[in-house]
Amino acid sequence: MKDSFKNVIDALFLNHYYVRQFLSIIVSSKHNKTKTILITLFFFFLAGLCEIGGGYLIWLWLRDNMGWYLGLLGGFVLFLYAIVPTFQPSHFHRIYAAYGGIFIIMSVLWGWIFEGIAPDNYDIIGTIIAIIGVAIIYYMPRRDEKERPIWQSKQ
Amino acid sequence: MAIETVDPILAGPLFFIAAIMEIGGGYLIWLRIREKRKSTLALFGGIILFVYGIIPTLQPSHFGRVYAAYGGIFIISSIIWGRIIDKKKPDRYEIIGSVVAVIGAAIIFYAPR
Repeated sequence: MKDSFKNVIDALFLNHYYVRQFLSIIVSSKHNKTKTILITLFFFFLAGLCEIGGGYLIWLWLRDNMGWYLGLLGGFVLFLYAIVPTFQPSHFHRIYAAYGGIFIIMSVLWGWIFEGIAPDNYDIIGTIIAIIGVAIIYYMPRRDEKERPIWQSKQ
Repeated sequence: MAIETVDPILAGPLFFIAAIMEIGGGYLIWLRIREKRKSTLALFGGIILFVYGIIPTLQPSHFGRVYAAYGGIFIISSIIWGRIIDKKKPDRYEIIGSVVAVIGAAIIFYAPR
């Protein structure tokens, strides 16, 4: 049982390795800042969707009394959510801190789209400030970090 | 399977526990992929994230703007996590950016309406 779990996890990370290779081919032609920003933003967004989606499936199971298999699926989606940030270049804590800012923005959008709460002036001001915060945390170039292609694998 | 919700006074602590579990679970999976550590760690990470997913269902009401506050808690927790667990001192831009983003969250959460 334990081994089969391990095999599943190893298979996931093998795929992950190929994804990484694929991405490095896309971006390796030239170090392009705009492209890097767009792709990293895409991964932040994807992580947010997986987190909200996985959490929602567990919510359906426990709060809306739907099937347990939805909860199990939700747990798996949350597992996938944690894999997404490993595609990001940079340090763990910097990626997660920036993701927190993305999360603030997405929560306002979530309330707007799914709960029908239109953002008021305070929401808009707060969201813009959060965007500035993310830009400073994650996209401010650091002098001590030499430029390198993103998704450069350690191996 | 029905679940009991908690007293509203516990909402804040619950969010803090959620942030620690989310970052901790993510960190275990990060260790497996980026640091090439054991797969067992990733398995534990997955279990922790599953439990993390249960926590919001204990919250008493609809989230709306409360989630924005959680984003702020999450940012601070991430920086503290990096400092304590990864032994990486936050650099200038991480500190400034985090303060800015948390101000944004505070405006969304605390603005009088």
